[in-house]
Amino acid sequence: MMWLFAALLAISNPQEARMKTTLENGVQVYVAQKKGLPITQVYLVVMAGSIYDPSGKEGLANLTTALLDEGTKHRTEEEIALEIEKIGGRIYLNTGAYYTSMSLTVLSPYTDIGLDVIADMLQNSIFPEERVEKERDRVLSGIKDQLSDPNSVLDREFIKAVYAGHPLGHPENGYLNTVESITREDIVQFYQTYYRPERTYLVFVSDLEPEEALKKVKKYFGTWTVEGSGPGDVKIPDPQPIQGFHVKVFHMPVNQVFVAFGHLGPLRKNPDYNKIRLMNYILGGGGFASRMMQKVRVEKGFAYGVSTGFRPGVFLPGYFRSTTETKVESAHEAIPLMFEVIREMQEEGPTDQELSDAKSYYEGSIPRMTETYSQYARALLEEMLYGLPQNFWLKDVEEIKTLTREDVIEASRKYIDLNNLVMVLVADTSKFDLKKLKFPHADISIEIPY
Amino acid sequence: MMFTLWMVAMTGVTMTYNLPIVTKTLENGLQVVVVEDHANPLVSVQIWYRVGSRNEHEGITGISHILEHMMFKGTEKYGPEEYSKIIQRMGGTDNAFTAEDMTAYFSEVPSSQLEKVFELEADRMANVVFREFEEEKNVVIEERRWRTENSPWGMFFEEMAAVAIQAHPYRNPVIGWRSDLEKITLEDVRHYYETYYSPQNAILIVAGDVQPEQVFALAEKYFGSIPNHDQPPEVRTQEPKQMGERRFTLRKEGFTTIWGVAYHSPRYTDPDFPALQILNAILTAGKSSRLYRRLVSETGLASGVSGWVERSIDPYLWYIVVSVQPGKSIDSVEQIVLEEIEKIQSSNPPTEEELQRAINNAVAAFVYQQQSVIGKAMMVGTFAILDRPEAVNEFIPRLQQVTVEDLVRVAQKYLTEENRTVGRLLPIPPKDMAAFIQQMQEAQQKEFRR
Repeated sequence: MMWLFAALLAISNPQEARMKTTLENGVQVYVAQKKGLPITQVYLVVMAGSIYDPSGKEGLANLTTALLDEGTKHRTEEEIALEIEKIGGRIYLNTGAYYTSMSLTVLSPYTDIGLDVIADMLQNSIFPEERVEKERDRVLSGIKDQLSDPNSVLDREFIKAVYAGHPLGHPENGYLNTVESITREDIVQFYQTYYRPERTYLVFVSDLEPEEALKKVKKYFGTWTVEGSGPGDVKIPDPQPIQGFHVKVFHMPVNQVFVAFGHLGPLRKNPDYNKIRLMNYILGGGGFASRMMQKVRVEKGFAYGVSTGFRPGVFLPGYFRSTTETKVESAHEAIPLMFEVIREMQEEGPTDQELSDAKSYYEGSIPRMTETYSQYARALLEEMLYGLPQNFWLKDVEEIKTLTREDVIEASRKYIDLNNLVMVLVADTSKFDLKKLKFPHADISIEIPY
Repeated sequence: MMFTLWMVAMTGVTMTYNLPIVTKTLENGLQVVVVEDHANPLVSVQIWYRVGSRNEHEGITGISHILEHMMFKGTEKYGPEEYSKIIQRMGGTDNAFTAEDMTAYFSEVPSSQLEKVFELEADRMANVVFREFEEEKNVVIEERRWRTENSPWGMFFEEMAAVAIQAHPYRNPVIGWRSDLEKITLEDVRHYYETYYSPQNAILIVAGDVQPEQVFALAEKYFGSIPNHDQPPEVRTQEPKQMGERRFTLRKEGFTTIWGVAYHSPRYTDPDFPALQILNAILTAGKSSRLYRRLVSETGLASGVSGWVERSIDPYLWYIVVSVQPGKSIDSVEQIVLEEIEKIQSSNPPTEEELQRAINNAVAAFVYQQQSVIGKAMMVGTFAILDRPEAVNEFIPRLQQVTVEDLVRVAQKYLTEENRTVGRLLPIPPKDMAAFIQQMQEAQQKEFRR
């Protein structure tokens, strides 16, 4: 009847115990207790993202990740699915540019079963030939679905344009021809090279006592060893900043113009990180509290969604992007208006009211940042990956409270450059008249996404 | 006040979990529901109105959703979008959604701000001023373009409901038909607001770090004096029994290929509902489900399968949809789904193990959703609309009473040929557009380079 008491009392203790350690084999572990519900949330991150894809094999990291639940030395893919699903567990696999991640959610009495399965997937995947072909087909099918959806085409093409030719610039799931060219040997080699204890981070948040949690983590991940020396410190050059104003148009038979524009952006560890966050909230990141939403949606009715955002880089530059979608007839007004909103921020900065509202937002949002098991685990992962101070989210807010109007203006001028950028448009080029956009010095190209 | 406990036996673990619900109805009919949760200093305040596309008719389809947008346009006391700005200033978040049976407004804020949110919510229940109507209608039309007209899946589901249902308003899309959206007047919206937005037609749900008595006192203070309008009209139309299979085909540029089937299913409170929900899970939920095994893992015909039985006030639909791999046989997909349905009805009925797995998954999902106060209040709101707030704690026990015999019986009763609508979305391959695009490309290039 233990769980009954947990449910009724809903014990609250914001300073619940945490432990950070490195296992002997090099796996970095962060264990934290969060009481209230019988849930275990694990994030397992391996530095094996799509930037490590060899040229011509784009999509290799993603295909490797997608095969992790398709068979191990001890379990068939069906056994993996059954074992997790009979306890109501959830496993999600995801490939990012820098790292690949496994998310495990289980009711905490089943923590051992969940850990046993993901440890097996991580350490003993065998990539059966037949599963490779099935999963390749699924990935190809996924890419084709993306090429049929204007939002996905916009995302794929924006990344390509902003990182032109750089390893960060290909979609994580690759291209049709490169995914076709990947062999099982490529996958096995990638797995052996990059899936290594010293490249692995594990965050564990649960109602279990941290000592008990750590014991479990050691049991399932502590004996993991791999042969060889791994890739070492892989040197990837910085992407080239964009010079000039480039417009790329992709023809699709859609009745809106989908637009994204931007350029390279700062790292997560940039000392101006909080200035940029505060500025972006006021400019276009803060929903209805932002100027973009106010001017483009509320006042003009041009769009349903409109925003600005910075995707911080892990160890290479991230990017700035502003985006919306609007009917063909209003595109030539909506897009220049977005530029105008940015220019106004750079020239005049925020009002006192905007500044104090934004600060007040960050201060009040503190308890929401770690409310759920997954939010808390993600915050701890961020702390571990970037070497941030403990409870960095509280320190960030302390810093945000001291920032001034000048800081915001400076951030908007330093980190947004309206003269050197790429703009990607997805539109029906038989209806959308590009000339109306009046970008006199733009270098424009028209392509099809297929 | 009602407090039930339920227990689930899963591989030796006993777990007891339910939401502590306390309810009170004010004199004007407003139902107030409180779910205490002191894990974090947060509270979610939600107002659920018993109105949605179910209450609409031709000419005003989409009006519930337009009204939802207009509810953010302020009152005599507050300006447009000021509601969201105030919530964000608190560090909170807010939004709203419209569905077939309900329109819900929700926020999550620090619990110290409870009273202010009550004041705002009560104010807009009674005193909305409909500003910026034309602009907002344009926003909604953009939303329709984005969600439905430019999305293969959006188009598919709109068509499916319209073909499968002939009389009941569930046949109309929640977002509304385009021509209705263009013609709905401010007068229509005002009338609709007066008809459906009053205390007797609403449920106020508060989940989080609060005391029930405090909530009831504040509810009395802010909502107690809001008068009711006339009782809203009942939905009269009932869907007649389907007498034979219906079929449709859609064509859309791109690669995306969809096969789907919809069966008429009973309302949420029907005794057959829990068995249908479990049957759906056995067929479509997770990688261990029967259809995933056949269509994705074994044959590789599809890249994904999903299914759900709509939880609704009136009888609605059970969907099974398949994302067919481009180029693979859609006829084979159909054959396999129908084969598996036939098996579950006779030659290979569900096993005890499959039944238990489906229940375990529902239990786990029930616990996972309790991680946030927004999630808890959403759960209560859904059941309050469909049945009674307390029904949230009866959901798992209802599933637990289902037997294998029930599953076979409902499979035979509902999964019949004359009760189904089969739909296909077939791609128009991009190669057919190549020549056209080539011309466009050249024409546009010339104009720009001159």
